[in-house]
Amino acid sequence: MLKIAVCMKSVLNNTTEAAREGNIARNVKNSTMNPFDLYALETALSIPSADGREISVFTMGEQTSGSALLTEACKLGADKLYLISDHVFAGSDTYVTASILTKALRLYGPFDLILCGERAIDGETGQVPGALSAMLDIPYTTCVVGLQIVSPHSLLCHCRREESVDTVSIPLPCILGISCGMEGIHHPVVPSLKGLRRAHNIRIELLDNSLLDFPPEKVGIAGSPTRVVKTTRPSWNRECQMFSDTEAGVDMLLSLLNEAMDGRNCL
Amino acid sequence: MNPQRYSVWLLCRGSENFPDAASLDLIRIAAQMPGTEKCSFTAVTFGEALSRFPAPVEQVIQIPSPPGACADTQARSFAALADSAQPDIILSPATLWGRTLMSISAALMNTGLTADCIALSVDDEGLLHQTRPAYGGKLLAEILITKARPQMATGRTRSSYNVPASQLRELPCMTAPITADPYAGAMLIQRLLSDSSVSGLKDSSIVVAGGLGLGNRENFQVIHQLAALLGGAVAASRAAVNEGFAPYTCQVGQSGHVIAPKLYLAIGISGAVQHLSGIHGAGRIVAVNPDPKAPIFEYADVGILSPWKPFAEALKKQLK
Repeated sequence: MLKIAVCMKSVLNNTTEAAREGNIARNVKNSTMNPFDLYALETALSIPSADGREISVFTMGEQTSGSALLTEACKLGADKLYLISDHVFAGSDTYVTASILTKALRLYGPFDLILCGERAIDGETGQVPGALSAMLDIPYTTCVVGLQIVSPHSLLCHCRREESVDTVSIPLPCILGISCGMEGIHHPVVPSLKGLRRAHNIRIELLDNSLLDFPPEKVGIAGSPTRVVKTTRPSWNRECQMFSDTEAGVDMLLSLLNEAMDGRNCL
Repeated sequence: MNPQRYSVWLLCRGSENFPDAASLDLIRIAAQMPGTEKCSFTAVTFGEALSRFPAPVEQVIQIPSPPGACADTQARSFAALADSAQPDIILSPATLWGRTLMSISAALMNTGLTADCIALSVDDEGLLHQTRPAYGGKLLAEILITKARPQMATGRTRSSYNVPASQLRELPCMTAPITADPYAGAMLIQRLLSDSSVSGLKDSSIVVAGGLGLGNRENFQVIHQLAALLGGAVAASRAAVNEGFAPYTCQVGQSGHVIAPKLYLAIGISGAVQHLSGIHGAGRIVAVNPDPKAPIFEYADVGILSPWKPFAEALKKQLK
């Protein structure tokens, strides 16, 4: 049986609010499933396996939004649901997040394949999958847009790069960062009747620190090697000259175009 | 040599003994950051005979890398070397390769890593002050790695940057010993270069970009027409790329290209700050959008309140 783990994150669905507050507690009302992680789950669901497969979803964060995410994942077809949540984990950076996930993945693994979204749309670091690769000591590639199981021991992946699409061979077990635009994944995936019925008897395993047993000083803000010392507002705004008359706007554009072509407007 | 200088390693790639644009831009960032005079710079390369770099790089470490080996394999040999040499700071371009290699290496060395920095400086204590966009760029966060070492960060580099060959100097090279068995990681089998890598988006002084406001892939053709008329390159927002209007290689913004054309014409792009972070170096930004509340107008020099179609017609008429 192919054992697949999918790591999913609940992210704020409105970053405007976060920016106003500077920092914000996530809850079920202001959160949504990170879109890249949905591709990761769908990728797991699309993998055929003659000997069957089992999909375990791990999420880490605040409990109400985490439970909502796992319930959704269950409706879509996930088999096992793990919620990593404890107040001592709050404020963990990517290194500590990966350490906590690693412990959870070890506890319920080993897994043949670990899928993550290539990045979360809130932090946009994309660093957790790489850190998991280091901590679990398994190979890793990212921005995967196509996947083929060529043997029980290896995969072929199509990976999007800045200026190419690479075909990469990677041995199992491994960790992949899944990108959007995945070949053969058709949006929107809707919950199946079977999934909806299963969600009635949903069983979410809560993994708190009494189970994972980290020294409190090793996790959360205290344990994170990176520390935010200051936040400021960027001053990228420009003085915008508005035109509601399209033709006048086009004239303005054309004069700027001439400037650009003359090379007089080098900043 | 002044023994008190902080050692900074710069991860570099290139071909034919010439560093690539991202590496050259990283070196420029390192050279210009406040505190650069307190640092000594070493370029680190992987499996390539790269030995020529511009100032302030003083020496080169070449790490052997088997053909086809990817960032996950390279990260293992790199972390082993860095763990024993203990540089104060390691910087890499925030390219996919750099981010992958750095995220694995930092975790192997149990240290911190900051992604996508847009400003860096080194203070008198050798602390690297790292500034990165947070919450999609609405805020800038300054980050320190206070205790763990080395301090690691990836820097947002431009997709196009070059220096004259005369600025490259042949530098002393050290080949790192391979201590462990080659790691059995991902292997590159085939590389298909994307069409748009030759379309000149990165180097064009005029760029015409389309967003979700175009509505569909067919309408997006107007961006190609206008770009051809204006002698510019085609770009797209992330939303437009996600909808399949244009390929990823056209994507501009935090998860795409960072460009600095003289004129950037954004049509039907509402202007998420992630998009802005790919274009804030542009000379002039002209935005076309029917919604007066579209955030892009906060970042544009000229705003034209119009749906894409009447605008495109008016522009075509004027150009005829």
